[in-house]
Amino acid sequence: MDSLERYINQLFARYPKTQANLEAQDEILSNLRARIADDLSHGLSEKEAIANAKNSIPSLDFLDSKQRLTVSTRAFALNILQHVLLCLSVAWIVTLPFRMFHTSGRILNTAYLLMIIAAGILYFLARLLSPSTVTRVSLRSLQKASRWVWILFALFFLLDLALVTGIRFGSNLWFSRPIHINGPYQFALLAADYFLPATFLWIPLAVQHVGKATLEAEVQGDEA
Amino acid sequence: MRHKKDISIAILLVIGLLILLGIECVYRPAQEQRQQEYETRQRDPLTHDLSSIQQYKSLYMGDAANTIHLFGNLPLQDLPSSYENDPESLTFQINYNVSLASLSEQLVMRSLIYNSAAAFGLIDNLEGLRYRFLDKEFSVSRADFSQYFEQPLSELVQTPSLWESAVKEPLQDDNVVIALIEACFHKTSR
Amino acid sequence: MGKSESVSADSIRGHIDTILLRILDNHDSYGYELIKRVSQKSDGRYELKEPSLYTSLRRLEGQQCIESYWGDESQGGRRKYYRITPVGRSLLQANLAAWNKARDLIEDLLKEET
Repeated sequence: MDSLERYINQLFARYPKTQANLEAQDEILSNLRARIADDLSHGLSEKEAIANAKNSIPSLDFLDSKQRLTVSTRAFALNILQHVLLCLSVAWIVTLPFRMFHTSGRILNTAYLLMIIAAGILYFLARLLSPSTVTRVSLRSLQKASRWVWILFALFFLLDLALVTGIRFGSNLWFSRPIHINGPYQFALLAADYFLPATFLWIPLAVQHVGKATLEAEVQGDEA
Repeated sequence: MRHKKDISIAILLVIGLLILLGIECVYRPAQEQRQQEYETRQRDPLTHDLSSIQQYKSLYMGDAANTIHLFGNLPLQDLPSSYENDPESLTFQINYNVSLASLSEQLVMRSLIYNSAAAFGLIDNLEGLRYRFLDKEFSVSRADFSQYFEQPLSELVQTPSLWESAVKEPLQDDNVVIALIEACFHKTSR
Repeated sequence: MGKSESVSADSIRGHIDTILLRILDNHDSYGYELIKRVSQKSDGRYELKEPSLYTSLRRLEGQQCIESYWGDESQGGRRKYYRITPVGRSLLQANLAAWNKARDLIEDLLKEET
């Protein structure tokens, strides 16, 4: 029976551990075991019976492709906002030192502070939501959205990298002049130009977390 | 689990707030103060920072932007002024839109000497300087000016210790200042 | 399987929901038991495959024609049982009526020309 269970686990490995999927896994496994027991009682060898069972479920295409599930809106919102607050707090602290000498850094840092305040307000508002409100979420759509956000971030970051390098070292590269960095202050300014846009990493990380938050906030919902 | 995250957030925010206060209420005011003090020192030839103008070294006075930047970092920089360039006579003119009477004569005299030393030292083909106030005008030529210095001005301006002893220190003595002005500068009333 | 058998599998596909409702109308059942019952009823002429079964069960549950509950743990793991609902019963009757009407009509249309 172990090879059967391993087979089913393998099929389900690619799918998120939603309640619907976990139940489907149990149901499919128990039905296959009933089939195997039946085959054995009709004289088939264990090897043949297990092969039959595996052949009857070649894939999980029949599962809900959108991977929809029901979440408690309150738990969902709180979970996401809490994660966002955590990411923003880290981003804020990490950009604080740049207030001392970098103008854009100061602006970005203040922006992060404002975002923290906004997220904090939303966090406390979300606590007021009724615990019984539910929302339907499609995990497949979330996965797609998350992938797009990562792609966009990567594009933005690469573009920004090229821009900053071009502005700072463009003439050096074009005229083959060596690069001079006189002193720690200049170095810090340069580091800031590269480091500050990287803090936007919080956005794709937060979007990615939404999938996890969905699973954590799942509730028993009506199939309708 | 959620509670732990809440506590982490709270701790981070408190730390951040403390750092923010440290930066905005302690460091930046101190930095502003230091900046103010520096700028004040920059306005006085006796305390001017030579390294702040060394980057304006140039072969040609015709590079007007460079010369203007130089004077923008020398004493008398905060006076309203306009500039004129005469490439034919290789003379650079600064028009100060104030009257000499309204200023500290000691400061102006010292600055004229200091600024001229800096300009002749840094700008290789500069031959003459004209400082024009509303009520008086001072002009000086490189030939007249440099003979009062033992070493070439271009050397002095590259070596802070020499600059200190040959240019700055003599300015402390008012008699030396007056003598130098009388000797090198051509004064006209307007 | 011969070509005639695969053709009949296609033509049955649209009725699987009704077939399952019929079986559940009689008594509650679980997945594999439903497959066996279909095989028995058709004398082996039609084998309902697991993917079709699960798709159909989910659809019916979505339409609230059936409801599920977990049975006791046996050595094969917990089984999901299905029972028909009043909505399911009405749908069953409606589909049967529609099928009978259609069959009569086609029979008439396929009568030999005179």
